[in-house]
Amino acid sequence: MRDVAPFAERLSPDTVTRLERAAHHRFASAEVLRIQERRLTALYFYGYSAEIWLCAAYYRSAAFGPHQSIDRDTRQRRMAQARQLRLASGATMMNSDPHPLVGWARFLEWQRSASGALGAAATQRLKEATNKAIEIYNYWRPELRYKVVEITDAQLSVVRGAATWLKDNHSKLSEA
Amino acid sequence: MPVIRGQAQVSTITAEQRQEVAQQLARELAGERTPGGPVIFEIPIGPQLVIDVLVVWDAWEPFSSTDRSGMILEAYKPFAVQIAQPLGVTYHEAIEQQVLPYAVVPMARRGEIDEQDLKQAMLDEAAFALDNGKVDLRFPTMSLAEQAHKRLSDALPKGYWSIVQTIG
Repeated sequence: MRDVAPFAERLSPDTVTRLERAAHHRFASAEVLRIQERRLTALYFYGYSAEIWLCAAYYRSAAFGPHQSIDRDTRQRRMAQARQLRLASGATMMNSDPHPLVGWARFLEWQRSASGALGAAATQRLKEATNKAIEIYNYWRPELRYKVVEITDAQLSVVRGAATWLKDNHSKLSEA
Repeated sequence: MPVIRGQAQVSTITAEQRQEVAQQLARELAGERTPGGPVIFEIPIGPQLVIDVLVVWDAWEPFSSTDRSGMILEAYKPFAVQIAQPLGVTYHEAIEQQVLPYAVVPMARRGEIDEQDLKQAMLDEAAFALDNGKVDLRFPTMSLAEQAHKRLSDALPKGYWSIVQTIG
């Protein structure tokens, strides 16, 4: 029998460009599912698109080139740092969830601040990104894939609105 | 009912402590092996000469993340500009955060080779000496683990060395 390498082993490593493309694809899938009234799955994909845009914006702001590979080990070290850093409240910037959407938004904000002085507009935009991530995280969790729960139009609308804001602003999040 | 009050944990670090840790880090970077010193990994991350610096050291314990990163950057001057990420973690944090996922371990059976020789060879490769007397040789990338694996296999082939990856 012919050996077939598992598909996961044949995937290219992430890059900023590939992450952004993936985010667009997840968002587009969410839009199709929303129209078909598959609200839970639509919400699930909107959440992922937001997470991926925030990750991509973080790596871009951390001076990763558009096509520079971001392997699992590199990502693990970034997340380790984000989990060490503390907010003014004393809580860690990124929690231990495997898909810490809000943590990525805060880590992006921290990275931008650490890289140099930020203008008022950039500061406001980064704060807004964190607010959008919090809005999404009120409803979105990766665990949704195991669930059968009813998502209302209002709930989906909140998540879609926040994800749309991230889609429209993600490239500006790494700009001065 | 009893009243149970938590105590705020405030660690105070003196200027002397800070200086002592910074100086030991600088000596290690200069190539001197100091007792209880850090293990420093320099990891290339792109086509340019940019590196992540990971310093695993229990002396970091009382220091904040920002302090640790600042001290690493200070120690690397004037090459600090080449560092993409200066990250300081204790051994325990490194395991918990899975930043050292590749372990090089001997697979020899008891009696096949002197255990002290194995342990010393691992310590020479910058293994972490644990409280229970064991040693743990770990790396942040497969490439670094493979290099150590080759050196150990050449030096002690009867160690039957293997690389084990921790997946979270």
